[in-house]
Amino acid sequence: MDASGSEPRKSESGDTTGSRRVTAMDRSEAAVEQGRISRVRRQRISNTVAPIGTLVALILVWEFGATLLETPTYLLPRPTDIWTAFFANWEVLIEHAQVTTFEVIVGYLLSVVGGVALGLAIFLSPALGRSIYPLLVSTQAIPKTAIAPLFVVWFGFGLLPKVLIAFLIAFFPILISTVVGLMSIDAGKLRLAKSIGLGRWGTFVKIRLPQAAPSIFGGLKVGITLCVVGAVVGEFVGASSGLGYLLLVASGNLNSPLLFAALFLLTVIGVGGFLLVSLAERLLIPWHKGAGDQVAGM
Amino acid sequence: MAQEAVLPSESAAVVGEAVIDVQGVSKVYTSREGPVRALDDISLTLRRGEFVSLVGPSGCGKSTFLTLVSGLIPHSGGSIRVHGREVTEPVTELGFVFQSPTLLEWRSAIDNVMLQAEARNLSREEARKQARTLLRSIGLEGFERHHPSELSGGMAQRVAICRALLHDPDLLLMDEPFGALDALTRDQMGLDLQRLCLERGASVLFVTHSVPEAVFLSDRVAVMSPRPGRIEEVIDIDLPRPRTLAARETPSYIAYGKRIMDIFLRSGVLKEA
Repeated sequence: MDASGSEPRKSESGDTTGSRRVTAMDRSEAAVEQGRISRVRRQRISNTVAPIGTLVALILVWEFGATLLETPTYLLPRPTDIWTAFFANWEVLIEHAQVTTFEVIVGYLLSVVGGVALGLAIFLSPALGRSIYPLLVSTQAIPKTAIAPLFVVWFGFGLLPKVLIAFLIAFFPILISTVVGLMSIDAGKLRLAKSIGLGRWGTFVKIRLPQAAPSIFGGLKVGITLCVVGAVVGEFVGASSGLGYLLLVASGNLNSPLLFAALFLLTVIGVGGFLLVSLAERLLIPWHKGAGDQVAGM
Repeated sequence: MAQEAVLPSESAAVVGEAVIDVQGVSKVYTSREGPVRALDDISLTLRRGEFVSLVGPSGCGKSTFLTLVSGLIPHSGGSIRVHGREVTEPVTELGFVFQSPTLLEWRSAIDNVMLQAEARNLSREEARKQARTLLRSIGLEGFERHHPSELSGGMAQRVAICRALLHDPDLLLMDEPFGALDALTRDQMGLDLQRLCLERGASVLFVTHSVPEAVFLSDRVAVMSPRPGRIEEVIDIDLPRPRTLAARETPSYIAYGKRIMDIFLRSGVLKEA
């Protein structure tokens, strides 16, 4: 769409002659440009086709390999077995998926608010940063699976321990990416701010925060997938619902097709969350190129 | 040396009060290997409406000198007065054009220019009109809504110049603003800058390492030598304005360039085998 306009823009000295050049652009140039656009379009299509093709091929190899080798269903169910189990247990799966999704969402919102807020606080007050930073790193060094049982003792079998574990796992990368984003500003922009008399607050809101946004979104994208892990860890330790709980039940019954179906739903939740965050990134910081392109490739 | 250098400019027939008055300024940096003298005993006066260039090899401290004048970093000795006031903190009643455009990637061209208005709490509506006029006058009509990633290097630097001019400052500091541009764009920018300055009557302190550019633009050229940076000589460029590109081929123009080259040869900046 904008490819046709990008040629005159790129011409270094042609700022004044650029407009004339566009109108005078002859047919052959237009044809070359048209060819370039369709090449880009083909590239885009192959970006989508390639991963889907790989996935389909993998499923086919799995299906026929498992059939040929006659692997027992409890060891490795065939994709068709999983498919059947998925539809046979549709309502149960969705019910448990809803529980897990809710835990992930609440845990994620907490970690976004907590991570970004604490990141801002650490940036604004280095003294605070110095005093709580070792503590924060320590909380990350403790394996979350190890404190999950403790949370069950403290908070029971309900929503809270899962949300807390999801929060604990996800908030740290968000915090770090916020602090790193705020710290990494080029000296030139700060010099500009000083020379035009932009105050501390103005510099923060108009320069530092937008500058940090891509980095913060990096942390937000890592965080959402970690939240799914956290919620499942919480469910493993003590729960009566959720996909993690369903996984345990299915594995206890050697019902591997159901286990795989639950795994599939967990993947959907993780990838779906990631795509939503990427979409938010594209909408909120459209000027940041590159991040959006990666998502387009997914 | 520097004291002598000031004398010819004092006698120059330029009327008007000093916008910048620098007397015996030095700058010493502390580094791991001990203190480094970047600038030594610099004296220079810029009068209202005057265009003065600092020309010298890289590392001679000419950019440092601009930063000292703007108050962005403190000087170590001597006195700097801008608009009659001793510089002790960043001077904001001027326009500063940096070596790189320093545009905010998330803002369109016109919004980048508007940053100046936002920092100064100018009336948004008027400033916007002014920003549009400025962008148009410098050949960026139709590019107001483009983001920096969609602009060429020359266009980005034009936006930066518009930003520096938005609040209508009577003093411009320019730190090798055309250094990263190709020769053709440089020529065009030089012509545009000359026109803008004549229209507005702004005083400009301009840093460059290009001798022809300095001669083309300036009323006076201060020739610097490095380590520690000092002013070797200040040369009056007595050529009529507006200057044209063709004027660069005239004997008097070439003579000025030769004079500056001679100073560089004498001070050892340039060596002929």
